[in-house]
Parts: sequence; structure tokens; C-alpha cells
Amino acid sequence: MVRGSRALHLKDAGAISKALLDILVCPLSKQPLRFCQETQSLISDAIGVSFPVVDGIPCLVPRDGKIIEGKEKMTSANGPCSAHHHC
Amino acid sequence: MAVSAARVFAGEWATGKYSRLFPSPAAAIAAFSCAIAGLASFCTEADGVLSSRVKIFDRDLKRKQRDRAAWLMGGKNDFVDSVAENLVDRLEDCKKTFSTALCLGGSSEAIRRLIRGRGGIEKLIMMDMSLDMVKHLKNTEQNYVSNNLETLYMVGDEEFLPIKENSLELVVSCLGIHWTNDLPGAMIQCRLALKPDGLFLAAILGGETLKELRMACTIAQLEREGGISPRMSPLAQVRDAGNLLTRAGFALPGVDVDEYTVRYDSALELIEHLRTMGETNALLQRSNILKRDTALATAAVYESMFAAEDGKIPATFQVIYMTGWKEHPSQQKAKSRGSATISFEDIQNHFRSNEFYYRLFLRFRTTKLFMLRTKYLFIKHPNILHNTTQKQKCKIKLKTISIQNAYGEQCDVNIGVTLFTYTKNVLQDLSKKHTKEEKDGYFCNKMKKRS
Repeated sequence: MVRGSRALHLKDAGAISKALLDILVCPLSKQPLRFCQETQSLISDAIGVSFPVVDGIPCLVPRDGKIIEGKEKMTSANGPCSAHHHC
Repeated sequence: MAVSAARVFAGEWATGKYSRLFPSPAAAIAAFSCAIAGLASFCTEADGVLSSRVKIFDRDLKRKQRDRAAWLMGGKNDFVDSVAENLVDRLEDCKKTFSTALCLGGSSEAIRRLIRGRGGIEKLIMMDMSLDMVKHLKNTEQNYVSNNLETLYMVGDEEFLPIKENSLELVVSCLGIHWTNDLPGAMIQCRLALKPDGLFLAAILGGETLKELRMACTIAQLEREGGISPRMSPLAQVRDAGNLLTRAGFALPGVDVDEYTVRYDSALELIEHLRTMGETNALLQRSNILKRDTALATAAVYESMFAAEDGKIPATFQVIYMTGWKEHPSQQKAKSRGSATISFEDIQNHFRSNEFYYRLFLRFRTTKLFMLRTKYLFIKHPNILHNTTQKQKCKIKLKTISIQNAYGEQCDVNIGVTLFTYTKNVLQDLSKKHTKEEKDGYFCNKMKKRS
């Protein structure tokens, strides 16, 4: 049940994020964002903040951002995240 | 006396078409007290995160108001439609096409609906600070499949624009950006997000907006409470708009102003309209209490001071349209002083033969808007009043002239007039003022539009 709903989410988010991710940056640092499938969020590595993606809509208002704990950051960086890097 | 009149009037309102929303007059009065001049029942505290910056508006409250606007939206909104139409209409005048466009919050729904392939937009990114608003936009997407637009959705704050540099060709903001604390900062971020030669188009509310309500609020508050508190947000003045564009670093800045008068059945309806637009007060220093007495007195004062003979209540909305381009080598630049070979006097004389062209020319001299970068130079007809009942616009090309522009370059400019085709008055006006040739041009174009 849980897995099923997550798969649905992934499909949704992936489809929309791809087109958007090319132009999105972190609202605070203007540095590239990385999409983490595990947590369904966009992560700004420069300042260690994650922004949620709700129904495929990235929420990049600074207030919505969550500061990532040190441990979580490590796992997400090494985890199965599709890294998106922009110049 | 005034209060009892207002009570009856509120009662009527509640039993009328809004009876579904507020089952009893008492509820309507309570709702009005709550809504007048935008005092929301949910108030957020000022946060200390960005305390170093000047904060005028409560952005979190504004976000909640926009959430609410998303729930209330749906009805016909002529005012917003005509502003959006006026704004996207400018795209038609540009030689350039804009493949990637960002539509900032405010009346983005109207922009998407009215864009109708103008400006050659292929990818449209809709951004709003309210998730509910973005969801609403996304859910109504299927109504606009015929637009052939790839529409993307995101939640973002204009004060912290999360867009990569040099990635957009157009930024449109319709009635939203005036709620930012740092307007120049927001505009600079828009400019950075634009590619060179990208266009920034914005409509903001100007200082004359809702002057009637401002007066009514002040008088009512003085009368009932013996003092005043800011019930309405400060807005940019027209003279500031040009400076804003220059300060944000836009090239070829252009500013023009339009005043709309919207007529409501009652002051309560005005407040309801403001709520559906999410344009209610979001001042950080607002007073959190509004007494019912004061609210009703405001409605009564408004009615007694401004109501028309037919009982309708007018409200003024002043809209400032701003246009700016991101710098690009292809854009014209001012020539050095004294290098011009023709004086303005000569050009003036060239136009003097025809009073109508002369008048157009005088307007043209004062606006640098879109010069050279557009196919047409359109000037609003000076004798036609603009109001929100206008149905359709029509553009007439009157004459192509070769002229030295303000930068000392020779260029061909098509002079035209933007007319609104709905009334007979326009035709009568034309027949009175202008030559046969001009009228012929008008009708030819009109026929073309129809066929």
C-alpha cells in the first residue's frame, strides 16, 4: 500500500520536475538544487536546506524549507538520489 | 441613523445573492467586520528571521489571503480581465517572440486564459506564493489545452525568486508584485532571471487605488474611535514607477497608467471583490481589531459620500503598467548630445498640418515606450474614456512616418490608435474629429477583424 502510493508520487514528481529542474535554483543561495526521490524534496546543498515537492509542485518559499540534520544530509547525499547539477 | 441604515443594508445584502455564504444578517455583519479593509481573522506574528530588512507587509498573511483567494475565485472578474488583457496585449506589439515565460503571482489565472498564443510563448511557468492557488491553477489546466502551452507550476516567493540566471525570455506579473517588501529587489531578481533582451512586464496598483475607501475608513475611524490606524496598504506612486525600473537596471523603461472605476452594489461587495483577488490589507503594523461599529460606519460613510444616483458605489483602481528590457547590444542607445541633425521643432512642424497627428505626436514625445522595438506605436485615444465595461480592443494603423527618435536615430514608426469597439460613441467620436481617410482605415480594420 505504502509502496504503491510512493511509486505514484515518484512518477508524478519526476514527470514535472524534469522540465522545471533545469531552471530552478535555491531561492536563498541561488545555487543548484538536487532532487531527492527518497524524501520527495529538492535539496539545496549549498545551505543544507530541503524544500518539499507536493503533488509534483515544488514549494520554494524560504519558509517551507527545512534545515537538514547532519546525519540525514549524509545519507541523502550517498543514497539513491538522482543528482542534478547545473552550471 | 447611519448605523441603522447600514444594518438594513447589510441585511439586504445577506439575504440577497450571498445568502448561501452567510445564512443570517448577523453573520454577514460579522464577516464584514472581519473583512473590511482586509483585516483577516487569522493573524500571523512577525518573524525575526529577516529582521534586519525593512518589512512593511506581512508576507505570511498575504500567503494566507492568496490561499483564500484561490478558494473564492471562479466568478467573472472584469477588472482583473481588463488589466490582464491590457498587459498581454503589449506582447502583440513586440517584434520578438518569447519562448519561455514566467508568470508571477497575482492574477496569473487571467494571464493564462487571455494569452491566446500571443508573444509566441511555448513554455509558461506559473508561480504563486500560495500552494492552494497553484493547485487551483493546475487543476483547471485542462480548460486551456487549446493554448498549446507547456505549463509548469511552482510555489515561490517573488522576494526570493528561485529561478536560474539567464533562463527566461519574459516575466509577467499582473497585480501581485506590489505586495513585496523590497520591490526594487524583486525586480532586480526578475532582471537577473531574464536572458539578455528579455522583457519584464508588470501591472501594479498605484497610490490612487481605493481612495474612496481610504477616506471612508479614516472618517469612520475618527468618528467612532477618535483616532486612525492604517487600514490600507501604501502603494507605489506613478512617479516612482519609472525610477523603480531604472533602479532595477532595466533598459528602455516605459510606464503608463490607467484608472479603472468599478461600480459595486454595496461597500460589502467591494470588500468581497478585494478578497477574491487576494488584495486585502497585509500591513505588518495593522491594527488587529476592527470594531463592528467602525466597519458599519465605514460602509455608511462610503455610501453617503460616494454613492451614485442609482445607488451604485464606485471604487477607483489605478493600475501602473511597467515595461523594461534586459540590456542587450542590439538595443538602441542614446547618441551623444548635440549629434542630432533635425530639431524637435522641425518634427513638430511636420505634424502641425493635422491636429490629430499633432496631438498623437505630443503624446509620442512624452512616452519612450516601445519605440523602435515594436511594429506599431499605439496611443490611447485621448477622447475616449476607459472603463471596465470595455469589451474588445481594436487597433488602427493610421500612418507610417519616418521620424528621428529620442535617441537621435531615424526610424519608421507606424502610428496607430487603440480603440475599444463596443460603443457607438467611438464611431461618433471618430466621425466628428477625423478625416475620411482615418475613418476608412478604421472601418477596414474593423471588417478585417470580423472576417
